[in-house]
Amino acid sequence: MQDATSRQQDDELIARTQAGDPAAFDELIVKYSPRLYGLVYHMTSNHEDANDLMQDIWSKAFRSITGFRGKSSFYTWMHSIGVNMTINFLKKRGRRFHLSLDDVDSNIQNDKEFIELTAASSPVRETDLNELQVRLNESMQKLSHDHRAVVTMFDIQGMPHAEIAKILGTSEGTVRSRLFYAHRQLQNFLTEFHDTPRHD
Amino acid sequence: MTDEQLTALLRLKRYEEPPPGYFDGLLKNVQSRQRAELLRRPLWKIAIERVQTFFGEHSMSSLSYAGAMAGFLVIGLVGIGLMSPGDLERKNNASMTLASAVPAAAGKILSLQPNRLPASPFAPTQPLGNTWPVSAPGGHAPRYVIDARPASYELSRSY
Repeated sequence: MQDATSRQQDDELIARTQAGDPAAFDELIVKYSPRLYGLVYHMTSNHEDANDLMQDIWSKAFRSITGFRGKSSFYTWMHSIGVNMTINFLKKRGRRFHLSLDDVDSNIQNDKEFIELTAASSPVRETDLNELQVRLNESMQKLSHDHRAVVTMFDIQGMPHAEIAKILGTSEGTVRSRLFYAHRQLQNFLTEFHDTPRHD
Repeated sequence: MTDEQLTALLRLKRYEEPPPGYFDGLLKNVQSRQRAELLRRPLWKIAIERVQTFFGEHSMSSLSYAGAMAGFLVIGLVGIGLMSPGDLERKNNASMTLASAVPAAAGKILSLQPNRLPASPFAPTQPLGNTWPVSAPGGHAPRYVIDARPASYELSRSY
């Protein structure tokens, strides 16, 4: 997931942060925020919640970084904090939430998978992009928190099973099993969507 | 929907992005929050951190560090013990007794009679409560003795 140079850079930035250099921590924020935001946003499906959580997560990381000993990569450590805090937040939030979606990058139009999915023979050809995004996020919110975390990290962020297992503190077998059940559930939700027209 | 189609759909979610400039704003928000948290921290936490930083800079072994921390703890406990209210009360009582004894002793020394001088001027000769003698009995002027030597033969009120 991370090359040796990147890891070495992280180690230096962490050492500087631990020695009291806040600028080094800023560099870590700049480097890892986009991926961390992706994790939190896809788990909450709400931009405002993701924004609040991002601040909480980085503040927590700053308070805890003196205890970071480098047993795992900083990336894994940050994702562990992010997943745990997001799951705690989702448990408190319960079912009170509304979708607040981010914009879709226009580069999606050039994506090979997007072209294939919206081709004439595709089941999603009738669905416009925004509706598809809403429907997919609604389906994601129907998954349990643990299943959603696994789908986000594996399918959306492209992380390997081993890395996800480390972040969640479980075995790779558990990760694969959660993925399997999450996919089955999502397929059912999305099949219903194609069979039933929306009226809202 | 097949598993491949689902996977492809999920992968497209990577294109969902926060508003432009969001990450710059996030950095500023996190920085201001860190500053606010630093200002809100209690003094004892800051003190502990400074001690840790001090020992960290001097690269002490963990055993020395533990010893030093134990030393600080003992000093702290002794300090707290000395400053406890019971001790303070006892100290106050002791100082009050001393304060009342000093003028009495001074008065006692000053009231020494010329014909009843003790071998040492600080040895107690009379009970407490004597007053300043205006004139010695028999019309003699009072004599004050320092180091068993007559200090003055002048009249006490001749300025």
